[in-house]
Amino acid sequence: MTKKKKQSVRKPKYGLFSSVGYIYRLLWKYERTLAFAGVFTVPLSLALAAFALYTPSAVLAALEQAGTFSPVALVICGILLSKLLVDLLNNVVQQRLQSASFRVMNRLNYLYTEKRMDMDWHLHLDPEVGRLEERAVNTVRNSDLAGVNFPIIFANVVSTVLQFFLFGTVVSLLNPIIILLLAAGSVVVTLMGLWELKQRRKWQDEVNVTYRKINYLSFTISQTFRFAKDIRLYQMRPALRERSGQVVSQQYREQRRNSLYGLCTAVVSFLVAAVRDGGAYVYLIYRAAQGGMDASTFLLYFSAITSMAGLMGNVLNTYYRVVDGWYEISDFREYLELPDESNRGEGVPVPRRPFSVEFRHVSYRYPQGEKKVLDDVSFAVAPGEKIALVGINGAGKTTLTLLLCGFLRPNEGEVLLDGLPVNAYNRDELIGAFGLVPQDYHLLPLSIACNIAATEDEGEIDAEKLDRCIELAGLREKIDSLPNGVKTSLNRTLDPAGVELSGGETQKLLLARLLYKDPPCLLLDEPTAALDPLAEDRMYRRYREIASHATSVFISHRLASTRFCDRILLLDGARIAESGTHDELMAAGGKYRELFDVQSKYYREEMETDETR
Amino acid sequence: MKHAEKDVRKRGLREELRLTLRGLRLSRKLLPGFWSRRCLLLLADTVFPYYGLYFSALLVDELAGNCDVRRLLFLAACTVGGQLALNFFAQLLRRKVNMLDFMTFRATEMYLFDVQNGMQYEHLEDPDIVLLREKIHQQMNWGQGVPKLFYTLPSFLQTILNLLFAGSLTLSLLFRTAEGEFTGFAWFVNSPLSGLLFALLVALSAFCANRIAAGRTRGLVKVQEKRLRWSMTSQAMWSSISGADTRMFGMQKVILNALRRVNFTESFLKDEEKIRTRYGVWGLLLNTADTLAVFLYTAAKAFLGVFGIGSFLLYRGTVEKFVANVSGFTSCIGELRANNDALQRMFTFVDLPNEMYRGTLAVEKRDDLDYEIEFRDVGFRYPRTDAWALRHVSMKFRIGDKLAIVGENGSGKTTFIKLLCRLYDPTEGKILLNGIDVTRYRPDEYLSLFSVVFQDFALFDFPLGEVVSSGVTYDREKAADCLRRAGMEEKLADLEELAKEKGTEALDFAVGREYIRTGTDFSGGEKQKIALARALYKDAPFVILDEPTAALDPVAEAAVYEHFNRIAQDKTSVFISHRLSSCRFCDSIAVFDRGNLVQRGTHDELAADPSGKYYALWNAQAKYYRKEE
Repeated sequence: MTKKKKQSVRKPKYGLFSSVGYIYRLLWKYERTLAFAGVFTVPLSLALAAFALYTPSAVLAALEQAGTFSPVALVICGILLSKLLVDLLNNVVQQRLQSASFRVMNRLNYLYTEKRMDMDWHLHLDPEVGRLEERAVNTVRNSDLAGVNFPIIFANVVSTVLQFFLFGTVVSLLNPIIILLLAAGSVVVTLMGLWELKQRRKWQDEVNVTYRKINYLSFTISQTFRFAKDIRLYQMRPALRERSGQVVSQQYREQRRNSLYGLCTAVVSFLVAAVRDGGAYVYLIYRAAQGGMDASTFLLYFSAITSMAGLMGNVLNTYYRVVDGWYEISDFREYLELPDESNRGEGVPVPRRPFSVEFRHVSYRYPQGEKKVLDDVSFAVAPGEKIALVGINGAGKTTLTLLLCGFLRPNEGEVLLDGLPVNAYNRDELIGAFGLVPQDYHLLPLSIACNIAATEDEGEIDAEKLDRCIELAGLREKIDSLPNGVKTSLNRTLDPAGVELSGGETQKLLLARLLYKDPPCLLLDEPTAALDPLAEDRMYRRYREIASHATSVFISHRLASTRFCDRILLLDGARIAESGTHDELMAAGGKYRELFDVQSKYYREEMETDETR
Repeated sequence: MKHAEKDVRKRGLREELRLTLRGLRLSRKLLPGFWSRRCLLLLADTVFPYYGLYFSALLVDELAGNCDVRRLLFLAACTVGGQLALNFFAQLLRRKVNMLDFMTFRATEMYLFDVQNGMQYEHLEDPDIVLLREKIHQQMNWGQGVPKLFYTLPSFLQTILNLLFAGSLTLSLLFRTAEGEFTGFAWFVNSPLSGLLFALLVALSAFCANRIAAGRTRGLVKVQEKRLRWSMTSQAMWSSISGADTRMFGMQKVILNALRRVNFTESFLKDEEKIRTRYGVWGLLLNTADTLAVFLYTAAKAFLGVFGIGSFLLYRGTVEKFVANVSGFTSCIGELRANNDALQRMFTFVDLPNEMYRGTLAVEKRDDLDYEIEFRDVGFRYPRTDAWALRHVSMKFRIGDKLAIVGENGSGKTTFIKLLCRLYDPTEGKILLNGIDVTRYRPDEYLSLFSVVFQDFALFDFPLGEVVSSGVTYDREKAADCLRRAGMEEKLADLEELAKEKGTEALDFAVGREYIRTGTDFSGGEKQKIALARALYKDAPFVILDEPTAALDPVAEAAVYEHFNRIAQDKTSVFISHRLSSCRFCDSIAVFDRGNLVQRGTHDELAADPSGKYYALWNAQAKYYRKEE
């Protein structure tokens, strides 16, 4: 990590107007009340400002002039009760608007999540996309997002301008030059503020990096007990504590740097305020000394001058918020409108029957990967053929299956499905043609049945089919042992009657999920790794039935599995090194034979010892 | 959700005080230096407005009176100069306080993470406790608990300070009277009776303010609790969002639906808005009544000539402040009490007893590693279940033994491991280390005896070297060596090459990309090797491997068996594997079936018994490798 590298200021991708237009379109679609916020807030804030300006001097004037107390009381009651009305109205409007911006924030969060699950899967691996995502997350996590409040901010601008007139008339009665002086002061503070903003922006990406770490420590891993066993056995508590401390102090340092800029701005604005107030006092005292200014007028003028200054500060603040919102919205939009590389439009109809697969000179290297995982790989699989894919760890077997179903895209060469390139098919329709038993699995905190059918609507589930899949996957015995059967939840927190499946049981469940989908092409990535020998044996014997009407690719390190496949492909050195049946490859005496011998050695040694005995 | 309520008990005043104080102590520990600066800032913020009020009142009085220009200028200079100095001082403090403030949420979350890391493992598998943890997280998200103290306590202290300042002036006003004879209404205003009435009104207002604050907080919390279940569901799905299988099986729809339910269920937002609006209206009504009373009362006094017209502003400002702070004081109390619900939940979690920590014995450090472990009629039921996961298990193994445990899925193998390394204590029977019940040892000492690779091992997304060493600072040579011994030789060489290009080191590449964006994705087999390397790095006398080769290729698998055989020469190792060839390296094999230890012996003995479980298991697998067709 090169920390001392000079940070440059980045420009947002979309312009200010374009970003404002974007958020208004969003608001128009989802939250129209917010789009029209100004209609309500402008008159209300004007009225409140007028009350603040005139109340003390009005009461003072009444006191100075009154002969009896009743008119004073009348003035006080009148002013305060009418202010109450405005306050009440304002309260309703503000709460309304707060709910509205909540809803919009929720909407942004939703849109972000939707995009993350909708964009081409391989894009997640791209670090550049990762950076865009970090920025988008920065937008979504900001609960006081300026962009969402653009309408409110703009309304503030309008009401500020109007208030300018309100106070401005009072002040210019006194001397119009004061307004110019006030403006000059504000310009100084504004320039200072812009400088601060620029400095902060420079460090944004670095701040995001730290945020990612903090988020991982304080949210991702602390919200799950998945690590609990390892933390205990490897006694990681002190190290985790130390690490948290380091990351927190890193964030603290970043904060301190940012706040230093803020301190400079604040000091400048204090000096400007001191000059302003001092000048105002001197001028007013000078006028008073000349006569013709009583206490209440003095007060009115002075509060008008300071309020004017406050308003100018307000405009400045508004400017910051607009710029902030502009960056945030532009970042968000950039992520949301990130183009996909796959075919999202019309596609050729996806075959419902087993289809052929062909790799033509396919090469693939992971973004940031150290070397090509696949290098000029070509092979063809006939419709309905059962392929066993073997190779050592890291040979690229999983990568190959992901390329096959279009989740990854080759750097060179192409993948043909049913004779057509992957991009001929609509991406989402194509996914329907594949089923996967992954190594890195994800289950829903719902019932077993819902997980097998991959739906949350129990009514949608075909009970008969479900039963068949459970049977075939060898999960029957476990299901029968549960009081609630297939309705048992997989999450014990949400449902105390839930169950936590063991590794082997989970693998059976994953197989059942694949069977329920019943696609024309099956990808099984180590589906027997956690099964006991008896369950493994059962699975092999049923494999023909499981893959009866599908093209299938079976990845396994247990080479016994290859017996049940039509053909074995062996990946080695980023290429298909060997291809053929078990007997052919054994006879060829290559890498496959070596692997098989290594594995069967201990099983066969026994034969030998048995024989020698 | 019946058990949802029992984590918040009814509390007396003492208990309330105790909770808040404990929260305060915790917050001091989490962010040292915060409170001293916060208090100073508070003092500055409190004095500051009075300074302005005081001098502007003097100014107005002077204007209305003598109107001496020199004195006026002097007063103006005092106002402006003093404000500048105070502002500057306050800003310096505020900067620091804001920075610390920014950390409160994260600091508290990490504290809780630390607490749960030191907690008895059994608790973390208890659904009630998981739910409690979830609630604590939820309430933190809504600013309740310790983070709230950082906001509420300062304003509480501030109201107290304000009350002291404004109180004296207000009191003097209440009983200050004008000279002269008055009748009727004027007499009443001038007599102390009006002061008494005013005081009564203030007390009433304070009571109302307390109810409003507490009602608002509790109301909002209630709405949150209603959606707790849904937000938990949605959160439980979050980890699936980038999964390839999530896509392939169309599970995004389910995830998005869950998110929609949490975010867009109208009734929740409406309920929240209603509560905010309702209590907002009450607050405004109260506020207006207060202001009205203050204005009328001070204006009447001014009218009678109790004080000058210039002082009217000062008095009105002060009295208004006094009244506002009386309400503020009581509403802070209301908020603190409501917040104590959240604190109580958190401390319930923090205080969960750790039964494991009753033992005090140190484990004898033996150079000859002569340890012996014995299971004596051990039975175990998982909490809240009736079925025995293990029953009547008795076995003994000495240092240097190589034990293999085999059995079908769900036969109790992993439970055996969990008992062995004291993630749980047995329900019945005893486990002995060198003849002494293991519960009598200090758990950290006992745990240091084991290097374990669990079947569902979890690796953090930290840099590779730190993952292998389970630490932040570590021996780089040793870490690299362990990785090589675990079969990562080639991968490590590739990484080193890549690292050279990027100007870093191979051990600094992160495992996965959640912690550092530019991390590296490792395959399932590689992760398993990393987990093995971690076990090697720990170098403990007992090595326990639960399915260590499930994701490994045949070559790597064989290497692990042979390698562990070599490194584990003087160590005790326990293998669980479904690849029964591993059993051949072991001195003895224990076969589990439905929670019972059904067979024990060497491979040759067990394989020769056709009626036994082992025979069936072995042959189901071996038959594929035996015959060459």
